[in-house]
Amino acid sequence: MGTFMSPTSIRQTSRGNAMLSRVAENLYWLGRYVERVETLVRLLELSLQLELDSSWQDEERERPLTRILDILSCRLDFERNDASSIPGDAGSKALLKWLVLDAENPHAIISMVRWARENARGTQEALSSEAWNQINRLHLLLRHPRMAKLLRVAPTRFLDHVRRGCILVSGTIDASLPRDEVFHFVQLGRHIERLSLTSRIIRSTLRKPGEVVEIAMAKGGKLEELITGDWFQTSKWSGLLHAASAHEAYLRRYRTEIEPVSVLHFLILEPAFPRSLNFAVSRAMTALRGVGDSSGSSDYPTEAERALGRLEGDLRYLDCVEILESGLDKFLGGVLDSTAKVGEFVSQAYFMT
Amino acid sequence: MAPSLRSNFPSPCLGMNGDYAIRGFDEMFEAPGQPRPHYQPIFSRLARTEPKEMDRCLNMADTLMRQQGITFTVYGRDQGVERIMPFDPIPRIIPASEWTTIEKGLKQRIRALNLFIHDVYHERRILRDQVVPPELVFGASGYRREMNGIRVPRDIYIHICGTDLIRTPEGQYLVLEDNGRTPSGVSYVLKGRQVMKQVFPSFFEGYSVRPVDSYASDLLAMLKHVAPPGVDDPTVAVLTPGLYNSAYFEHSFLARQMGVELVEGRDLVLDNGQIHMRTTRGLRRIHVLYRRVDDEYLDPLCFQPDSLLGVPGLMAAYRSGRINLVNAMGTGVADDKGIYPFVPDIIRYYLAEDPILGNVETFRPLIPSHLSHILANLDKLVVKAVDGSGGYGMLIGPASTAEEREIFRDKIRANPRAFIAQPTISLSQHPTYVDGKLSGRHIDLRPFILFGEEIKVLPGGLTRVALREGSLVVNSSQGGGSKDTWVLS
Repeated sequence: MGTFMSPTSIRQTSRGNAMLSRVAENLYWLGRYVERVETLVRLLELSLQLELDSSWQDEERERPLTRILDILSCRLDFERNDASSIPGDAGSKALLKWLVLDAENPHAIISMVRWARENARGTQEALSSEAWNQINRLHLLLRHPRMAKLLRVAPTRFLDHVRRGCILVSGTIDASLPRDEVFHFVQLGRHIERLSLTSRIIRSTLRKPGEVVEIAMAKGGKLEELITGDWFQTSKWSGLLHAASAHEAYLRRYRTEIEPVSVLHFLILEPAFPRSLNFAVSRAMTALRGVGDSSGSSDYPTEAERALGRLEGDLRYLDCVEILESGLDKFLGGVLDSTAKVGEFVSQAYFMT
Repeated sequence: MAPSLRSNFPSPCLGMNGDYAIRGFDEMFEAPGQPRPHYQPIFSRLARTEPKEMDRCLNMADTLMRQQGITFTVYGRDQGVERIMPFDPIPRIIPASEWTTIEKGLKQRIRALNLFIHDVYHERRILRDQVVPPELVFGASGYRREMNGIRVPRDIYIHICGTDLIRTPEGQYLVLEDNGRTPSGVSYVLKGRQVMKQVFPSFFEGYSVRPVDSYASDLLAMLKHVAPPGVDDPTVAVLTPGLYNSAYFEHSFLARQMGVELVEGRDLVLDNGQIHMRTTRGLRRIHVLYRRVDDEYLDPLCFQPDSLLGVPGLMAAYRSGRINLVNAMGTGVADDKGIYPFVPDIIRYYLAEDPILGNVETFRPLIPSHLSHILANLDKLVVKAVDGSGGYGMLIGPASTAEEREIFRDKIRANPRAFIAQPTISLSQHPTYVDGKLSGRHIDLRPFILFGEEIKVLPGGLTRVALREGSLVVNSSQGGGSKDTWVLS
């Protein structure tokens, strides 16, 4: 047949990327868990620092660590746990342990890493060995007997270890996987999770425990009126920037002091910052276009594509004033709803063949 | 370097220590302090290695395996604990000439067993010629009525065989068992070699060891070779019972090495008489399934109705030739303990050759002279139930009480067909690193044979070692470990 490609091998290239639905689902969840662990580690590091400040005690606010419970929506789970009744600093330690090493707690880092690892173990043949290796190492690290002690005596060092582990996982995934469906499903999971977590983090900053504080501006109203309100203290917004690891990037971008509307703009709309909602949604979109049968059907987007595309449009073309006019909390709630919907559509389209 | 090794090694190194005992056939030592020629280089190397160094390297090997998740699952109290198989760093070495014989013997055996299975499910000449008693064939737990008259691609039934070999005190290799259903362990061979090269590179100096890394590509070529006729570009997949199966690592490792999908029963669906997997782009047909799920769990419509591991309708697709299973359904009839004593006759019957590898001497209570021998020597024999799952158990004569022997005497008389008896087997021993020194431990050998376009034997195989002193149990679930196995070129 000479040197031409035989029909067989042509067929093979064109169908090469189809993957098992179960494997796709595992990869998607792997991405979500890894992202959630990374974010949780960051939030814990920040909260531990804040715990040491006196400000929260003076103002009789909640312990910084408990805010994480709202971000993960697991406050009720914790209140059912014995550890929640311990007062004072011992209570903080108990909460920290519950969030990190309590294998009974499905929201704890140790559990999420275990799920990530179970998902990876079920897809070893699709992932690269290096990536599987790193996930497995992180799992083994958390289960090492010495780590429980380290969390007690030097929690920041503990978190640093875990954070490195996470970076190695995402780094090897980035560096070793071909940009095919395997990679795209992991990425889709990561960025869907990031959209949801970043929205929750911003939202939690604005809420008082137990009540929703809506920041909304009348149509045609004045931004300045809002900005002078009680909710726009600088410390709150710098805390938010820290929680998103955005503090330095923000300062480099704006070169001014911290100013609420710019912070919101940076975390929601900034296209170049990797933890902004806009960035996450556009990466999720790229990933979504990379999965499934993208060949002939581009004229008819899937349901998931349509839901995500609408969100992408909003985040790309809205400006801060419009967001505030509709109400910030309501807007973020809308982002969370759309994200959940995308998740459902993805699951219907690819995991339940 | 120095001609006289004994005087040269300072005591803390790993030479032949004073209390090293040679029992039975020792793979390394001809006589105390006297290694066989092919073990000389490694012996000298060990004599220059300190236990501290050895421990350090072993630790590294352990960590490597754990991090890569090279584990098997032990079923125990809390639903399966993942363990790594203990790895002994002192390689088992087989000279080229010895291997040539083993290889020939294994090829001969797999060829004969395949002809036997084909015959059993078609003309049954061997039964009519009264070489093998029909009641043993039809009574075997691995016999599958559903296979009668079914043609399988290329007439190959056992595509992958893991044959367990042991050595007599004289050093002769004997077949203890043929594993022709879903033999496992090959991943430890491949991974063990990788770890050896990484952690103990100096051990390879002075040796030319035959590589094992073509196994996965040979396996894939074989699987494609046995695709249903007319399929020129077959899709292959590995079927695993799932994450919690004890050999899951191996299933996933082989799938990854071959670059094919690893599927579970729930990933597969019968559509239009064909088996498909559910993918992100819809259904995709599978032509060859390397299944690591036992016969009776493959299709809930035919066998265990409550099995969640299988695929409803798989048997129908298989019987109509739309998918091929590797190994074939019903190969259990050939590696049955009741058939085992007849394998030498089976080889002579089909190939008109003398068996190259012998069997362990086996007595069958069905033969009157054997029966009287068994009953008179129960305290020296090992009695095995032909169908291990029948709940009859096993009697290890030398370790039994008079009462237990009495019970077995009655059982054997009542149901002579259900048992075989063998002399207590002897395993060869191999120097093994235990607590900072070398000690002799019993080993066996499981080579892996692939039957595709040609028959290929992986050079070496899995050497399993019984880590407890004096123990003959090499199973990994019961504290057995493994060694790298070197075939010299």
